[in-house]
Amino acid sequence: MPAGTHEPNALPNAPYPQTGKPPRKMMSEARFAFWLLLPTIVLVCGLLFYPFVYSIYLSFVDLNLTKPWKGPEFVGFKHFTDILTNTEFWQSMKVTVYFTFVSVVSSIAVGLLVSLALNSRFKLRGLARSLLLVPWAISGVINGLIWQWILHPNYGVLNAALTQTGFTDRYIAWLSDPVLSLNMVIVADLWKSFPFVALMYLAALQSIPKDLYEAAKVDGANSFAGFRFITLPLLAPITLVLLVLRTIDSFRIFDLIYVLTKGGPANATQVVGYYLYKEGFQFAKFGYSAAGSYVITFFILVLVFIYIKKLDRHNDF
Amino acid sequence: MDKVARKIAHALLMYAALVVIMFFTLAPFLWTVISSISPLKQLISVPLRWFPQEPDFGNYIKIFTSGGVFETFRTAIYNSLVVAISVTSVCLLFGSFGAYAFARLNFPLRDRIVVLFLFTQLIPGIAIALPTYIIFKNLQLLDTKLALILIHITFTLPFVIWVMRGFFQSIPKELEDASLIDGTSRFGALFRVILPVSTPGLFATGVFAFLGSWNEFGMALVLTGSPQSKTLPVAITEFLGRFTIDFGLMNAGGVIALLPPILLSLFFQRYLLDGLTSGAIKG
Repeated sequence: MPAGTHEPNALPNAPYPQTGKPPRKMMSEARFAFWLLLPTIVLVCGLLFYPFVYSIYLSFVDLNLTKPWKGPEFVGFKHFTDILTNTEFWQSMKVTVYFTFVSVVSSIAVGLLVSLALNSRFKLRGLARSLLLVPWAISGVINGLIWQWILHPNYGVLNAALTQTGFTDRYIAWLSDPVLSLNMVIVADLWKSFPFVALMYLAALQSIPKDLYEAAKVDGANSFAGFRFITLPLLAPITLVLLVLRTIDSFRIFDLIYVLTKGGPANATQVVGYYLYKEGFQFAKFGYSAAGSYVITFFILVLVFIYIKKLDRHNDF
Repeated sequence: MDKVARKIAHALLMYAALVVIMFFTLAPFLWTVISSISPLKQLISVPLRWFPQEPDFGNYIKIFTSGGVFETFRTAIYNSLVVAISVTSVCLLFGSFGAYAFARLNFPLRDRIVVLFLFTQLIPGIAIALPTYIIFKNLQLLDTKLALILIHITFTLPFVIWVMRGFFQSIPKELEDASLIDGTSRFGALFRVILPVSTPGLFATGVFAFLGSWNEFGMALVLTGSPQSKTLPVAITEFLGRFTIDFGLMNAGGVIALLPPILLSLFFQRYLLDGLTSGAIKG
């Protein structure tokens, strides 16, 4: 049984054997914990919670950066209504949702298939597993650099390979076509994201006891039935975890877009993270961008909430 | 006979799948390495010649010895190292403090605070990028390595605490109790009993922290401006803008930036794979 199925239940009733300890000890325990956590609390409050709250303030005022003598001015929900009625914002949301959906589904599908292939016994399995770490360890920026060069319209290796093998007769401008470019960005993202999924699934697969399959075989089940009725159900918990992690990651994609397409062509790859960065830092529309960042935080929370609800329901049986 | 044929077909299919997987995994990386040691003339020849007749390390020599923009690039390597190493050490120190508190000590709201910490990981960077920029501007810390170090630590600590907490919880409590009875202080128990047996966890989280910081781009882009604080990812994007046609040089820059994370994760892979799975399964 994968660890994930019993861990969540084990957490709430973690044992605190307080038997025989004098109350004085309790005090010192809490105090000691406070000192241990102090640096973390200071940093998390100062540089995560405070900015997060500060950006609520930003989303309700106009800082009047061009007219500093006027000072910040309260504008109510203006930034929110502005952003929620802006077509470029909704266009970027559409791009983000498409990107997230295709990227999450494809990385989980490819990751699962890869893990199944790597789970069987063969020579160099350890090496193959290690090499999955290569794309995983590379940053989004370098990922962008690598794929920009692969997809180069005139000198890219993909075009060279496709023409030399006769698949196409002309070089394709992968990142200049609106539909093609978004999908090529997803391919680049997939290259970096599937190894993590595969490694997770691999770990889960290896924790499934072999005798389950043998018992099923004795009962006359073929290997497909074994996969369908043993493997898949036991992979469900880790799948939900992966869905949450991958969704959060994809929804806030930024570096890859920044390097690969800068949102182009014609905003076809402009994800919401890039759009808000552009509005906030290039056009100095602080309030507008802050309001937008709350809209997407809200989206992420809703998505995670839905997943967690599903996860809870799953743990019930 | 039929059974043997099926077995062979199955094996062939599997090896074919493996070849495809490994090709997709490694080819983009290898192509970058090959391009970085190929002469430019060859890279832009159509039809493309795939391998250089002899490797040309000119791009690397240029990056490590020339002046001007290359000096900036070298400073960026140095900055990235300083930032990532500081972030890793501080995260391991404060992270094991925090993890010990959550794993071993009893205090009010303990389990709620852990969950709250975990929720910080949901906040999208863009939601705090603007206020963070303003805060550091007011503190006059904009364009310093310190600002980047602080923000990277803040992003990484909750995760480190979460993973380390799992490691600490798996250590038998008796081990620590024995030393507490012997008169060791709690702090001594943490350093002399808990930490030495959690080295796998420390390695794993250490690599996570290092990679996270070394690879981080969004905040670095917003908070840094001049060569004194710019880290590699930022320098690389500028490099890309400047050498749009010197493809070999561009790839050499990329290889320099991707080598440390790859070497680190391959070197520590045993711990990393355990940490990766335990962290996410519990998370």
